Amino acid sequence: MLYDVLHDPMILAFAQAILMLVFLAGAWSKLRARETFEGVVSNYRLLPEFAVGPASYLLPLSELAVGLGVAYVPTRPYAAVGAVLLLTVFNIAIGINLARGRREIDCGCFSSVLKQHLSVGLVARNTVLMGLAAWLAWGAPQILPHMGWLDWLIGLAAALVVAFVYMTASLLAAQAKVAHNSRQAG
Amino acid sequence: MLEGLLVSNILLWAIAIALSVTVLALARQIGLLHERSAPLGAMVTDNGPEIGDKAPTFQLDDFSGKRVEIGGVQHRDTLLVFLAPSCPMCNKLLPTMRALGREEHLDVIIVSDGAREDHERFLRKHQIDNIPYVVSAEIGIGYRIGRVPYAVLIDNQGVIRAKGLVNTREHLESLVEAKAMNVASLQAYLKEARAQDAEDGHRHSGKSAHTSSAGR
Repeated sequence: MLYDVLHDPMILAFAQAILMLVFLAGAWSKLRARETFEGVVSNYRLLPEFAVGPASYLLPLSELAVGLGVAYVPTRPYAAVGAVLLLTVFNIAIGINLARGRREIDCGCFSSVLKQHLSVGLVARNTVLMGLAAWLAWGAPQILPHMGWLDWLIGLAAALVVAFVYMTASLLAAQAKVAHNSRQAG
Repeated sequence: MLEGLLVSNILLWAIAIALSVTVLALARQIGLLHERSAPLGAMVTDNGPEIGDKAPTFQLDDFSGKRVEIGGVQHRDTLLVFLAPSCPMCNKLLPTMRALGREEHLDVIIVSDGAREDHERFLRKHQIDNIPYVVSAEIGIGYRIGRVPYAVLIDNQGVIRAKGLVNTREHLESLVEAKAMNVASLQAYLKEARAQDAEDGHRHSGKSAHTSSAGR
């Protein structure tokens, strides 16, 4: 029963749409505020100075490639592997800084308006996404022939709703943090 | 029957998307209310020494060991900018600060706090020319700085003329403008202008036009 549900083409389409949205949104917000993102990269203190600038281009461009590639069937397995690799890099970077005790730095995940700081929750979120991507890369090809237009449509709709709700929740959390800080200051 | 269910399902998804977009927009609006009640000018958090007060005076050595005097009678106005080495927003403001200091003939002083190696890394990476870089928690506490980047404009008589959070070039410039127009902040100016308008609208009907032309 559970096996059938997990292998439903609609779930596959959902996973694919989620990854597409996450990576496209990440790439878009980083490229739009690239200067700030350069500061974010150097703040992680993992790269030598000369590599920070190139990395601040390379990371969002890789995200863009993954986001686009995952939506296109022939490139999908490669994009999904790319997604797993990128998320691994992110998790290692976050993990090292958590171990250093530098929780207060900006994660740079999406827009810095969200003021998401480093936390174990972020690593967990990335790990869930890695699971989705791994499944897309290795488990999904058998299901692919059975996918119809309705699967794509519903999968995308569900992913959009999840993305909007996630954005709303992060935005509200960021505002709560601002309100909390200003109360403390006052 | 089955087709009806399918249509209803697609409709429901469309509604779910519309609803989640609406909630997101609502959350953004709350954020706007929170943070940008007036979008122009640096936000003034109502803490610490007030505008019009004498600035607390400090005498201490900057990072390179040069003596720096903050507050009191000076021969030029002083722009105190509070930063943290780990704040990406602050790095973006550095060129603006340098330019503003040159154009407006201000003495810019950067005040920062944190571990010594962080400052060394920061100074290696960023050109601050001859702007004094002071590491001191006391100054931040003296001005009740809760968030950075924050700037305080002190005139040459040692009086605080403007202050606020400065996230953009426009915010930074607004402090200088606020001083030039002799108001505490652009927000205070707007508030005053609105109150005046409401009080005797017919006599001051030209006031709001004046507000926008005085901007820049």
